[in-house]
Amino acid sequence: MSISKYWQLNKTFLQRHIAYRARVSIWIIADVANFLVFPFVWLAVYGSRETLAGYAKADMVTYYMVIMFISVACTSHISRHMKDDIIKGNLNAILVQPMRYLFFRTIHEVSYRILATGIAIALFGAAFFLFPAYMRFPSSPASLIFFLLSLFFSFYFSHLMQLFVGLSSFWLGDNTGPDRLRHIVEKVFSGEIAPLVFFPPLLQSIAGILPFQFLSYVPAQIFVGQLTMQEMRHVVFIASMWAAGLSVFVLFLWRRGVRRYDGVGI
Amino acid sequence: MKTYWNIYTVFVQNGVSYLAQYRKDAWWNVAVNVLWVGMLFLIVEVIFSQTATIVGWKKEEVYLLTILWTIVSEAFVMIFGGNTQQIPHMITDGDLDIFLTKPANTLFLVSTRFFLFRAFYRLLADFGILAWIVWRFDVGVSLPHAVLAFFLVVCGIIVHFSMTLLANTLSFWFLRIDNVNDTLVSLHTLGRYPIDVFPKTLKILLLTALPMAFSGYIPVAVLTGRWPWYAVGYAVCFTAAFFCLAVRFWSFALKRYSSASS
Amino acid sequence: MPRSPVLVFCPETIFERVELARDTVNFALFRLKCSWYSTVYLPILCLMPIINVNHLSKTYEYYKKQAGLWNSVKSLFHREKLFTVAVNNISFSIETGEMVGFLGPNGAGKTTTLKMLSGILYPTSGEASVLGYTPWKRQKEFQKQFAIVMGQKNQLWWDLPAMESFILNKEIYEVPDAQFKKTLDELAVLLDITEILDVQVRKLSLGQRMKCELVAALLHSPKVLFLDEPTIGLDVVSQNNIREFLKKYNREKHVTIVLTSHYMEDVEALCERVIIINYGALMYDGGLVELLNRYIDHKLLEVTFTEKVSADQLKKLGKIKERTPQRVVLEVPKSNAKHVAASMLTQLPVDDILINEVPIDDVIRKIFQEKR
Repeated sequence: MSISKYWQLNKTFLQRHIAYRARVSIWIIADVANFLVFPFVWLAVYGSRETLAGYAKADMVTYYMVIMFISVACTSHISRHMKDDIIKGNLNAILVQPMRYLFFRTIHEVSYRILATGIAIALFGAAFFLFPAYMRFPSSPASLIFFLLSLFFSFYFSHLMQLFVGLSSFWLGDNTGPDRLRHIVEKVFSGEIAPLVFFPPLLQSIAGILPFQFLSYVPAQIFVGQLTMQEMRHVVFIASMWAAGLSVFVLFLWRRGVRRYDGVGI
Repeated sequence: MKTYWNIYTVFVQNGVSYLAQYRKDAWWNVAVNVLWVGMLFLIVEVIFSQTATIVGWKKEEVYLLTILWTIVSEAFVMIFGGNTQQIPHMITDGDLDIFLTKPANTLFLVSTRFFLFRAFYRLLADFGILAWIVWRFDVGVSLPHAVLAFFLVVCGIIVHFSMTLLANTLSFWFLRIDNVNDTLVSLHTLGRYPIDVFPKTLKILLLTALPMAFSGYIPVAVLTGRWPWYAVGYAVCFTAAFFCLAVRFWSFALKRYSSASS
Repeated sequence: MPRSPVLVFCPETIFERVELARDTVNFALFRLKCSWYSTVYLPILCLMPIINVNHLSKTYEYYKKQAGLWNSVKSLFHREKLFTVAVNNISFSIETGEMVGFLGPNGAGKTTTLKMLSGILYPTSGEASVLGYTPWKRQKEFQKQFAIVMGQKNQLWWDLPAMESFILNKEIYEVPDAQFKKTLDELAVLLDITEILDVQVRKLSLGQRMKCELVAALLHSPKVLFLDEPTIGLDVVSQNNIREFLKKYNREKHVTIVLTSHYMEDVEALCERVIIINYGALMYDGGLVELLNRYIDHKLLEVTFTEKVSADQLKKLGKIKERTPQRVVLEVPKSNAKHVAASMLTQLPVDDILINEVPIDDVIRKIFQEKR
């Protein structure tokens, strides 16, 4: 498992991603458009009020800018490739190579993310440049550190969810149904739509016990200063527990799945 | 003309044949779709949890907007969705060639080939939800307004198709831009909100160069009496002009076509 | 070159004259309400070549990209544009009912030429006329009279039985019901696919799929058939079946067939006339037999002996191509072949002797390597 092998693979993937200029430009447009909507809607809701449920106008807009950053930089989309590998039997080619499959697909995703992070930072910077009155930054270096940590967890959980759905192909074949379900559940409980505090109480309590909040809600909260030091430490601890447990489960699924896989696709 | 009708009948029949093969997914499909609409409604609830109206729109009007937008979206997918998505691939892989040699309009064949019946079932579910909204919120609508709104929904579908066609035609010049369809889906969601929340520039954009407002906003604006009748005239004329523009652009691009080497 | 405004209306080339004549006659007959096809068009068609190509050229643009991550990033901002000439000034004509083979290595320009003749591509310069029409104008009347089958690309719907694709083609080409049934039955029997009409295309073998593709293409009884690598990837039996069918179809229906291939057996079995294209240029246009005669001036003698024969004895008789102690393949000038064979029979302990032609493969390879 040499580093240079993975680095070369990373470079090859990166090259593939930026081979087509128009494609790269189109990504950027899509990612911006999505997250313009909610700030405008919420600003209309605010009307003449200054805060809503503890969020000032600047907090709200920054919240969505962070969500945009996370959506571009920390979201994994690898399940589709995994499904194709399993159904079409491409898995064979990778299994015979001296590289662990899950690592291979993770490198694939990480290389995409590296490029995307560059774009995300540029977009975030553009937001700060265009409407500074509506942007706010973490108040202390400690918050920033916790924020970066939460970004890592965000990507990790996103990737884990993708791995789950991808691995489900071993049993289900075409997994587009479960994938769409995952998409809806993630969207609802991750805080991508709006800060969870605005949700009906029942959904809020459910969201509180699920790990999806670590995808978007927690990082955004930290960035916008909604959590105290103690709360941040607590949240990171819970996230670590979830991450550890789910990782073990993913490895278990992989082992069982590969045993089922008979080399001709499902 | 009769020929095209015959050809389309065969396409629809083929769509039924496809459906017969993937039946077990059909129910699951509809169920997930209902959940999805539920999520869209949740968004509306969340927004209205803090206010009674937004830029003068009441909650039930925004619900109507959401469901009509969904209907336009789903109808588009049913008729055109499976086809326009493949256009970039067809152009870059040279699969467009065989259509160029057929004595029927290439654009017609390419954009209506696959009739997605599973989207038809979802559309039925969406109409059911629409009926429920009208009943639950006791939405009072006059018949002429409803007919007009329906007509504008059709215009919305045509505009959405034209927009998609324009974007996909760019594949003749830029290779590998198959993500353009995903982008359009993202941008399309801009039409699900009362466009008055957006700043003026964006609002105008959504009514002209990036006509996402035609999918949901315009039909509901007319339905609730917000749009005067002459603005309806604008909507219809724009639909016709935009469609012609998209078709012209496609024809122009086709001339430049140099198919991929075999 | 600028032309005087008056002369713009005068047809310059023979193609334009033919088209103008055809359109005029069409118009006149339409007014007179008579069937123009049998009275006028068919006679005209018989008088001129059905396919006519005049100085046709096609150049592609592409972008150069070097390997490496840094170069990829650079290419986001600036790229070098290059040109490649796919077809370079070719001219030929084909008469009705001929079966012509286009031969050439990969990338020679044969498929590009075929695509121009079927109206898929616009040429960079030059003219062509098929059935009296300019192909790239893609007129409906023209498209209903020809068909193209591309060996590597399906036109059949993948997940449905072939029959559904046939019905679709019936509607697209506006084939009347009775004629459709008759043609389909005939073709299905000829190609032996009556059993598999209702099987999903993706479940068929490659050979069966190809047969169905052919049927789909011939349902509207085209007068011209373009085939691009029709037997590629097929097993020997299927290849043979397809060839037999094409021969028969060409003979009975007088359909003009143009086929491209890089399988020599296809061309050998089917085409009396070959057009060889390499690097986009026409290298040879004429009979296959003359081609062999022109390029081959020797024959191969394959001899087996009852005892070992030394190499020196054999070298005097001809050029040694292969040799084992009791077997040799000698290259001998054509005029000499019989004489050498006779002298070997009398002077050496010959067990068996064969006089063979040089394989066409070698001939073609030799031609391809020429004019580099």
